[in-house]
Amino acid sequence: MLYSYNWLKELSGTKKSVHELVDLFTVHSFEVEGTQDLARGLEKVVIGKVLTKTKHPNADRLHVTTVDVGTQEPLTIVCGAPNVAAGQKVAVALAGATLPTGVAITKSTIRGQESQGMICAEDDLGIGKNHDGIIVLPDDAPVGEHFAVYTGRNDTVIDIKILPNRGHDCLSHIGIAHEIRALEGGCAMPLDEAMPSATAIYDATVTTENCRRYGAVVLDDITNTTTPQWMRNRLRTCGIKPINAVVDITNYVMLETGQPLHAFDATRVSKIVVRHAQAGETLTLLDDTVCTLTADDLVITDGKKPIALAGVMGGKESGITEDTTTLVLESASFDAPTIRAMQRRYGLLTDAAFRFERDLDPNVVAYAATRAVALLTDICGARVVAATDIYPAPVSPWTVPLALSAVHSLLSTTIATKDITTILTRLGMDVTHGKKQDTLIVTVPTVRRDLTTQEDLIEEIGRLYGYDKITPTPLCEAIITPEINTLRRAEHAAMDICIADGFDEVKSYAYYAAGDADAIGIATKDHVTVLNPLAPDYVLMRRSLLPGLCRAVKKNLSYFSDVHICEIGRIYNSADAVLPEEHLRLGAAIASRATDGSQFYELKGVAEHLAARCGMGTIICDADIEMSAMTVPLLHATRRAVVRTQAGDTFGWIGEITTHTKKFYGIKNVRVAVMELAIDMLTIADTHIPLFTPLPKYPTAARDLSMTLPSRMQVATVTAQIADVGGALLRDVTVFDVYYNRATEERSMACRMTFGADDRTLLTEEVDAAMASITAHLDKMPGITLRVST
Amino acid sequence: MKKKIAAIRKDALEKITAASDVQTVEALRVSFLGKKGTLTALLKNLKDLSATEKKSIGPLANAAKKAIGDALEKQKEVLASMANAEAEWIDVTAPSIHARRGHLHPLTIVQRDIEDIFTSLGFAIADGPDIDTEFYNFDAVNMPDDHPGRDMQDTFWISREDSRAKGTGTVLRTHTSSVQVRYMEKHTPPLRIIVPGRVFRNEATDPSHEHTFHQFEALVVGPDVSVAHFLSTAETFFTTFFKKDITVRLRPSYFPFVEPGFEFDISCTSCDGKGCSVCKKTGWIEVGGAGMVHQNVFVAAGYERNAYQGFAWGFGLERLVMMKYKIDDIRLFHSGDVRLTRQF
Repeated sequence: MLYSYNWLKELSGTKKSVHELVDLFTVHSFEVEGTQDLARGLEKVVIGKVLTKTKHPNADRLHVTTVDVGTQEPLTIVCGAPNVAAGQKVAVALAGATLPTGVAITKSTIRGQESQGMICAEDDLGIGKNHDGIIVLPDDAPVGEHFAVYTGRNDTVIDIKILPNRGHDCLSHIGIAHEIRALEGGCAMPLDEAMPSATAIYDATVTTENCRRYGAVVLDDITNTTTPQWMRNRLRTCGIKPINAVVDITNYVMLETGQPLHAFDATRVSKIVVRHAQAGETLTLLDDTVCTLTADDLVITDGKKPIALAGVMGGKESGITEDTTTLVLESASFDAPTIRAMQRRYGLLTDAAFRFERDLDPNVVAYAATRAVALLTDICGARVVAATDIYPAPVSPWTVPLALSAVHSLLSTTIATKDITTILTRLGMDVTHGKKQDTLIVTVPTVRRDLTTQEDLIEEIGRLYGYDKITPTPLCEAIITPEINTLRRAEHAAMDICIADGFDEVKSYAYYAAGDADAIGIATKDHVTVLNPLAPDYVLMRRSLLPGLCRAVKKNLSYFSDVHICEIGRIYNSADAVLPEEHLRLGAAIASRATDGSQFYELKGVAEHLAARCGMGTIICDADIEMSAMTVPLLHATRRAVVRTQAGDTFGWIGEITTHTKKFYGIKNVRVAVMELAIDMLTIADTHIPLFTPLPKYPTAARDLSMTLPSRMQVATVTAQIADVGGALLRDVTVFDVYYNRATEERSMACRMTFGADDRTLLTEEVDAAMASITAHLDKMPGITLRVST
Repeated sequence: MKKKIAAIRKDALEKITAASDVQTVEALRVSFLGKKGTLTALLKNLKDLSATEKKSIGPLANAAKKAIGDALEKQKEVLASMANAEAEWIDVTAPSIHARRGHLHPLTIVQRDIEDIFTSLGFAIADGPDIDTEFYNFDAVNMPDDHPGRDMQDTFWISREDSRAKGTGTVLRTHTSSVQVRYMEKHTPPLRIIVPGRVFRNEATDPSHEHTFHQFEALVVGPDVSVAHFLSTAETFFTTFFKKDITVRLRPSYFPFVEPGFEFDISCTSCDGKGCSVCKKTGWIEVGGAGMVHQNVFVAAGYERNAYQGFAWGFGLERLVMMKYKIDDIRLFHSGDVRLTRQF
């Protein structure tokens, strides 16, 4: 909220500068978002009277004027404004002024005619955009007075960010003045709590508990004139446009007390009934909005139809005009959640609703009404003719017991009881000693609705005392070994392997568009959806890291011809439970020009590194993806596999993406393979202890074998056969070459068999015998032709 | 005679080690050990000496001959290898050969740093779901349905319950505070945890705002945990993190799940609090929110009211990363652009 420095000074009596107040608020109360000195640049702008005006001898559009600015000799000023005329009161920038726009005014000669200043338009002074003509001030403007003083611009706007729990008392100049007094050590200012009295009682009825207090005062003999300059200045300082006396006074009292007021034209409202609306009733508001009401809405009615949306905005029909001579002034208190719901329902962010939804103190109703009546009497000549105050359940100050030990324990200070009492008293609280030695009984003024618990009071003590006086103290509990987060360890292990294998980490959003789901072949309906997405691009919670990786691949192909990226993130699977299942996944992608499937094999290598690192053992790539515990997205039909553990559990999948997917993401001229692995399965890494195998005492013997294969026979089939018939001495079979001539469909492979024994060096005959049974077996396999044997 | 031998030996060794090519070495061999060489000439004279003289000078002369011969051989090898090396010249300023290496995302690097610091302070690392119930995200942390605090956070909803069954709607968590009660339900104080994690806010992006970002929540609960403990923990953490002395300043603030509540600032890391453009001349940088855990939160976790005290604090990971590496646009983190990642 915007506050007037002058107003705060007047209410609090502070002598502090704006800067000092800002520092005080920052450390003890609220953040200050900014300040603006309204007089800045207007120091050398004064009020002048145009004495004479003649045509400039050398320029058709210019005039030469003489202007009285209160000095002995009038100034000669050249002016180009079409509306300048003798007798006008004007704003004159004297030589030496630097205006808010940055323009410096000097004595100068314009077309041979000396000019000793400038007569200003609105835009010259930064107070408006108008440059059609100079500002013409009222005739009674005093010559020689500073323009800033005359227009109330000798003030500073302070923009204070009021915390949500202090809106009920601090969205007002009185509230902030209370803060200042408390911070400076002054005493609290109690507010007068009597409603204005009248001989006649106004006919008002309240039928709902959601209106906690309804005060109404009927005033007659109103002259709804223009508000005095000082009040208009303050309203403008606080960002409110002056309209007419009645409206200005209600706004002024709201800015001062925090209590919103409303005025009805009494000729259109013979009585008041406050009730809940009937569903379907309509009401046209002051801003011409037509509301179709619901039963949850709280309305002010004239007994028949709604005339105002309670606490939010008044109705058009019952509103006051400049011709209003008699009015009903409403000062009331409404239930905060009800107002908040109405404000949201109709999207009406009014100053009144903004305050009511912060749960105002009903006792301020009377003070605000009294203040408004006094101003209406002074300014508009009003006379009170009737009043009413419906307040069935008055709010009284409450008590909160405060254990001194709790203050010391929570703040960790040895603040003296006397100081505690002083701080609370300054904030308007009554403090007495409780029956228990250690306890104070604190009576809280009703305006501090936020103070209901002991901790609330401790916060008040802490902030006024000063948090900077608390000495940092190390934690002193017993040292307990923190619980190990095994999932985090697995995540780190997986990421470290990817980094070592040359992948750059990226991060993607957790949601994507329906188009992404289609591009990767997972049905939209299988996704968890966001009800109110920021954009249609972010509507589905991801079921795979694939779309994010594809987008990153596309982006990076603009800069690199070869992309290796990885990401660890959660995916979300819809479930029957309240919450979806969340799984941590590692995704990796390779994009490059190679067409031989090498991207696939490189990813497979990463998966093997990871499995080995985490004690998962050998993993298997299975081209049959039907039996998968994980959702496998749409992948290249003959270049994809499910990754399984030896036990058959699904660890993830690897595959090239399809042309359909590539087209959606705009990826061209490269092959892209992607892998997704279940990090949750790697938590075994933490318990896995790789046991030492004694180094072999005797040398091993190696034999190589190469052969041609049928075009679709899997290499793993061959090695499995070799392992089966190789005998007890066969230690290992490693494929070291695979070749596929796609033109001739000729395939070949070469592998190395390693033989050994724990207790002796093998004889050549033993190895030959084992090799003989292997070659004999392979020879019998249809389509296999052994080529060389060494 | 002895003196002559010593002089020849000294002269020969000096000249040999100074020789810069094979021809010079050969010439030296001739001049010292050749048929007319100086040492050879001397050796010829040995036969004229008496038996005792022969006995004392003979070995000396032979040793000199051997030393000169060895030096000649050694110098030849040195010269040969120098000639060989010259032929094998490489340009050491040519570009290096890199094995391909990947790069961690800056958010990951800093998250690991933070986790390591807190782990060393005895904190456990706790996680919670990204999609959580209204109960854990709001109600449990003292933000019931009509609480104005809910307005402070624009929420993405996954499901909303019309039946008004309390807290059963589901949301993308708006803060990592959602894990406070989840963790406390399963653990008994004293406890110290940090909760790093992704959070989501339904708000438009710009260079300093993202709808997806990361928070760190720290929670310490015990019988007498105080504001002073918070100050010490925060100062220890930031001093370790920034590797320079950091002071923490508390300002009053409001978060429904704490009372008292603070904003906390750290002394400016660029100017050490003197005032500069980074801290907008204030000497302080706003880092996060904190406070003493509200008793209602303990009650929601099933603890007895007033049985424990604790502090909670949260801060944005992105903000620390941006401060540390001087990154000026938060949107880069989720851009997928590896030109960011490769700088770290």
